[in-house]
Amino acid sequence: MLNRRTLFGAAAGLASAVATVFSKNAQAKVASADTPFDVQVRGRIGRLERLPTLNADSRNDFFTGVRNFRGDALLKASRSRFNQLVREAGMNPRDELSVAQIFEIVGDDPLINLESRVRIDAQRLAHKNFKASFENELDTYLTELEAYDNSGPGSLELDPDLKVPDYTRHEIHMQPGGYVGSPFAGAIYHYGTNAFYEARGRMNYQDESHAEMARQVPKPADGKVRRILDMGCGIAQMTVAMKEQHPQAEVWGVEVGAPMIRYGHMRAVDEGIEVHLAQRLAEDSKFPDNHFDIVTAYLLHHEIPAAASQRVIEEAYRVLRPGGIYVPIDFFTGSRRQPKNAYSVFQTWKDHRWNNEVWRIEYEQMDYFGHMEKVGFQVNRSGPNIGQVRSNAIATKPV
Amino acid sequence: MAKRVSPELQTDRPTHVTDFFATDVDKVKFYDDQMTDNIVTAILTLGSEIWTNRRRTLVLERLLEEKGVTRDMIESYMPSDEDVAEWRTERDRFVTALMNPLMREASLPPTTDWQDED
Repeated sequence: MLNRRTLFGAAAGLASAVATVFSKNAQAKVASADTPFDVQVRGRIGRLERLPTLNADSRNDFFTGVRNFRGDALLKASRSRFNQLVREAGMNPRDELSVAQIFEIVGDDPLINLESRVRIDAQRLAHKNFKASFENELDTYLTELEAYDNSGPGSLELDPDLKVPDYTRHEIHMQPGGYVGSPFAGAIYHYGTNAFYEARGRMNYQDESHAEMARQVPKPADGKVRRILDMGCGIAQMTVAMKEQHPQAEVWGVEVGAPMIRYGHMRAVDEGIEVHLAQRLAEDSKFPDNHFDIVTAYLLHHEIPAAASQRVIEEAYRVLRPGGIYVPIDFFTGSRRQPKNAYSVFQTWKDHRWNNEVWRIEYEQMDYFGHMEKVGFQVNRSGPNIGQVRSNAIATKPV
Repeated sequence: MAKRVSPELQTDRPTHVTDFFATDVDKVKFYDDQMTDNIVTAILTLGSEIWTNRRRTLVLERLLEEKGVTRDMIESYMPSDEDVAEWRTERDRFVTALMNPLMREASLPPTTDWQDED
C-alpha cells in the first residue's frame, strides 16, 4: 500500500494541470496535506463534496426541488384524481386492479400523467447532469480515483476478472450505465440518492440516514461483534456507518460494481474510516465459514432476481458464525408485503418498468422469510423497523 | 430484453466499467399526444436553466455588493469579442438542451413489457 505522503508527492505534479482544467471556474484544491489527490473544485459541506460547478449544483438544486414537489403536492393530487377516476369507472380504489385496467382508466388524464412524466424527467435529467459534470473532466476524476485506490485507511480490492452477472448490468433507477457501466457510477448514485432521501423527508447529505440505521441494527445475543460484512454495499455508506457504530470491529463490504466501491473507498479514506471493500458477489463473497458476527444488506435484495436473493441468503448463513445475525433492510415482501390497492399497483408498475427496478416484482413475490428458515436461520419476522423501508427480518444462525 | 451497450469513454485509462443493459425509458410516453410529454420535459429543462441563472445571480449580487459594483456598471457593460464568442457557444448549448426533448419520437405505451432488441 502506498502511503499518503508518496501519493501526495506523485499527485502534486498533476496539480497544475488540474488547476488549468478548472481555471475558468475555480481553483482545484489538489493534494492537500491530508488527502492523496483530492479534487474539490468547490469545497465540501461536511462529508459532501460540492458538485464541480455552480451550474451543475444549481441544476441539481432545481431537480431536487421538483422531486420534492412531485413527491408531495403532485403525488397527492395524482392519487386523488386517480381514485376519483377509478370510482367513476365503477370500481373500488382499494381493489388490486390489473396494470392494463389501470392504464385504461388513467387514459390521457393531464394530472396523473404529469406526475408520471415529472417523476421520470426530474430523475433522468438530474442523472444526466451528474454524469456530464464528471465525464466533462474525465481524466481529472479518473486520476483522483486512481490516487485513492491504493491509499488507506482501509483497503480496496478490484477484480478485473470477475464475471459480472447479467442481472447486475441494468440501469437501475434509470442511472446512466447502472452500477457497472460508468466510472462515475458512485458519484451519480450518491448525488442522485441524496435527492431521493430529501424527497422523503429524511436527509442523508451527511450519511445521517445510514448512521441512524446502523444504530438500529441489533447486536447478536451474546453481544460479540468482531467482524461485520455489508453485502451489496454500493458506495459503502452502510459499511462506513457500521464501522462508526462498531469501531473495534473489522468491517467489510462486497459489491459487484467496481465504480461504486472505488467511490465508496475514496469517501471512506477522506473521512479516515477503516473499512475494507472488495469487488465480489454477495452470493460468492469468498470469506471463510462462520466468519462474521453481523451481516447486513441494505436495499440489495429488491435489486436482484429471486434466485440470486436465495443464494445471498445462503451465503449469509454460511459466513455467519453460530449466534451471528443477518440483517437485510429492504422493502416489504413475502408475508409482510403491503396490501396492494389500485394506486399502489399503478405506482409499483411504473417503479418496476420505468424507474427500471427490474427485479422488484420478483422480490415482492418470493418467499423471502421462508427461504431464510429453509437454509437454517431462526427468523424474527417482525424485527425492529430500521430506516424508512421497514421490512426487517432479523435472522439468527442457531448456536 | 433491454439492449446491451458498451460504455463510450474517450480515454485509454482503466475505468473498471463493463457492458450494461440500457433502459428504454426515453421512449415511454404517457400522454396520447407525445408532444405533451415532450413539452413537460422541455419545461423542466428550461426551469433548471432559469433557476441556475437566478441562483448564480444571487451569488453575484452578494459578491458585487461586497466589492462595490453597482447596477449601473452592470447595465452599461460592453462585451468583448471573446465574451461574445463564449456566450454564443453557451447559448447554443442552452437552445439544444431546450429543443431536443421537443423532437423526441416515442412509441411505447406505458404497459409495454421489455422487448427483444438487436
